[in-house]
Amino acid sequence: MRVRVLVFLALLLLATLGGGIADTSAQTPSPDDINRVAKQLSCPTCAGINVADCPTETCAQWRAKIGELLAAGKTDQEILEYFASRYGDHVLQVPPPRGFFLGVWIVPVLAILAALGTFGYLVHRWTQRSARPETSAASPEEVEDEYLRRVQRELDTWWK
Amino acid sequence: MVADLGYVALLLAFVLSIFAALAAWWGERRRTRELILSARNGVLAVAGLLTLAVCLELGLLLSSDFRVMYVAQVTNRAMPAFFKLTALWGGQAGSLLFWSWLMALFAAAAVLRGWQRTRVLIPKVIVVTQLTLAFFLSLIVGVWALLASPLEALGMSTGAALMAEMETLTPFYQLDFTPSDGRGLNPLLRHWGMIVHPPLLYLGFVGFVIPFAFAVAALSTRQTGDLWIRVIRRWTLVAWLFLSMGLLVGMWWAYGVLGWGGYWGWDPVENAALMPWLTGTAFLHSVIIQERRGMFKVWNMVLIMITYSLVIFGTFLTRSGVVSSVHAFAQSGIGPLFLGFVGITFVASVLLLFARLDSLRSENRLDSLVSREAIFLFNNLLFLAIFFVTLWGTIFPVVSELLAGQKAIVGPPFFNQVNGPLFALLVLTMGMAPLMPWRRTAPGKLARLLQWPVVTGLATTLGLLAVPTLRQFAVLPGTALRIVPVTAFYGLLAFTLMVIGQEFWRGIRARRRVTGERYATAWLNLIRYNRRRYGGYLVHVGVVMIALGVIGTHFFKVETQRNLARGESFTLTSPLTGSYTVTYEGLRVSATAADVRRTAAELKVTREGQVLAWLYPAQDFFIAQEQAVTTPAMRHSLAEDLYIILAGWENGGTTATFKAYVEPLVNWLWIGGLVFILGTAVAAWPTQAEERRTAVATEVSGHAVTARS
Repeated sequence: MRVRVLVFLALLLLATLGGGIADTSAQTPSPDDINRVAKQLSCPTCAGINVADCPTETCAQWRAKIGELLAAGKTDQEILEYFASRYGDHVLQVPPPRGFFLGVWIVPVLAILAALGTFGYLVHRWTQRSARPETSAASPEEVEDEYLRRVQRELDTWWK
Repeated sequence: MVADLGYVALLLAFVLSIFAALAAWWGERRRTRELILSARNGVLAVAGLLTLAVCLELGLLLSSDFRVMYVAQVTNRAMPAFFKLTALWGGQAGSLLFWSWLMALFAAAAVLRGWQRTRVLIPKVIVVTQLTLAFFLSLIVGVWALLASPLEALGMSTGAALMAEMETLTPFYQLDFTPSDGRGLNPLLRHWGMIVHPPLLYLGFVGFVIPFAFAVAALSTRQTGDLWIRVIRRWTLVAWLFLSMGLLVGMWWAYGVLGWGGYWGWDPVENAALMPWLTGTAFLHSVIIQERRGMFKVWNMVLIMITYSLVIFGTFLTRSGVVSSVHAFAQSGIGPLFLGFVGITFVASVLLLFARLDSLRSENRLDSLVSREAIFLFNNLLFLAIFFVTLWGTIFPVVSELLAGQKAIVGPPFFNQVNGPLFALLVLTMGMAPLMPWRRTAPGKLARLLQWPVVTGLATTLGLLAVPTLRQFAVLPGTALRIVPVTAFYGLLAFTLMVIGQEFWRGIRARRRVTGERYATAWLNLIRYNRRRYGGYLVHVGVVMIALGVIGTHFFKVETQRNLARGESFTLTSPLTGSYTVTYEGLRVSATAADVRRTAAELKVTREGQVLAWLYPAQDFFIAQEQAVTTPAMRHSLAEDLYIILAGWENGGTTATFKAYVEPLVNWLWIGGLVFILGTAVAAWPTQAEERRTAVATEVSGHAVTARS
């Protein structure tokens, strides 16, 4: 039963993945094709804007270049690599997964694991402790503590 | 003359804020009542002086006194008076003055409000708020310029130059000449969204300083019991409300004005405002645990300390925006000073925390993994994880450049991919939490409560999977379909909504059994007598609606770019409502204001031959600034927006280029925002029961003012 569900889900996933592969064989690229690639590039002069949305002249030229490369039959990935090798990795929206840049992804994963670890540890520790019997009545020590605390408080509020 | 007076007020406020901090400190140490009273009066005087300074600055802006450098930087003669006033927060020096003024008012209000009830905490609250304020004022009174010559003497010429420059940062700095006209405000900011956005954000930022001040005061005086938690509850909620509104209005402005079809770009400035919101939200939840169960005491301290640091860091980032490059950072003296201040205050508060760990022992233990406490802990860690991911993505370009010497940009895909699943988990905990009682859960009861929500959630997911048009449209640009996670997320939202609905229903039924009220009355009374709880649920409903819009626009957005000749048309197929046919009818030029020339395209939007709307996307040309701004045109509906911008035109408009977007469910984001704000207001509204509880907490701590001594 469970196997069948899994097989169904796997097939569903495959079917959906299959539908996502875009047809890149078009001869004259449409503006939408160009934007698809341009979105994955960052404007080299203005921070935080991708090339598809950027109104500057530079980005217009880059879009034209993307159009040329698409018409020449280059794939999206090849075009991104073309721009990255010419202008540097910082024109990509996300740093390429190599060398130091792997840290972009690894550090958050480590952080999430650490958070999960912390959660497990805290829950474990706290539930362990609660297994021990708790003293219900206040010990003489605590009573004295409470007395000292009140004295301290009164000392603290001398100026009111 | 006016500028000189303003500068003197500013300088006096700076000196007095330092005096107030020192007097409160010494007064408490030396037990000198007069010094503490004097410190209080100092706080009030600072608030008064800064009010005067702000009024004078407004006068200068209104009268276009361009000899004052700040006035020349942010206004010009052609600007309407209203925009001249709001230019107070249009530039760096002015917004630092504005920030300081708000801080001074908040500090004065906190001191006056807490004077009777929380006397023991007040001296330290004064110390913290006034030191924070003094730091901000130090940036705009030019005192750092005094460091220039000593640094020069030590041979640190770059540092000296940076510090010398700080002299010009005061909003009252006067030029040697009077320019004939000012530079004026960036046209993109001439919108009411941008007028209210910075003040809201700043109110949120400043508001969070108050809970931090009380936290530090509680730690240093060892009054770590219930008192400070109860006192700061409303301060925190109000700060959080303003911060949330600031974020929402910012998104709304970005969507309506920036014209790129989106509302959130994960850029450093947005992240800077989001990060304290994330830790503040975590804090807001975890203090409930401390109130109810006496647990998480250290954790709460850590959260409010982080939030404080982020608020300062955020002010700095939103003001200068320098995080994309190390070079930009070193171009102004402000960066190092801010980072120094954030570093020092953070280290100092952590040291204080360590020194007081013994007074923060938990009063209770965790009884079970399936309990309100445990799920709140999980929720907190999720908020912190999202915060950390956001922080990491924001500072990575700097880290990379410093450590590896490689420039990089971390764009939206990173944040969406890493934070998306975390947000989904957060929604899950939000849905589960109301079902979890304190301490431990009886499995049978939990199962019974889960029944309907789970059925609703599964039905939603399966139902959506069965809709073929959705399957077809759930595409991230250029990559694989994401139909399963998307529908699962919607299932989660339905689950959460059902849980909240069930909670309301249970409450209403219980009320009706006891009082025999009608349904509507029972519902209203339920909220009225349990504002915190049901206000909180309303906030959660708002979050669900916001999530509905976010997922809708993220996964189902359709966009296209077309170049059309006059009379030509294109169609755009929406995943929810069918196809739009958009016909280009021509260009029209008009003047919308004295200094603005508008070029608008006429578009006829039809569906199956029926005219749905006429849309006029435009480009506004601001003559003084020589800057063009695209103004999108939209057709709104609950299902989606049709959002069109005019990207350009040729030959006087015989052809024109358009970008068109279908933004599914986007309006639920704004409606959800309103529900969210309403819920927060309901939760923050004072109730008598709560006033009584605070009074009890005061009594227990032994600080009630018994006699009018």
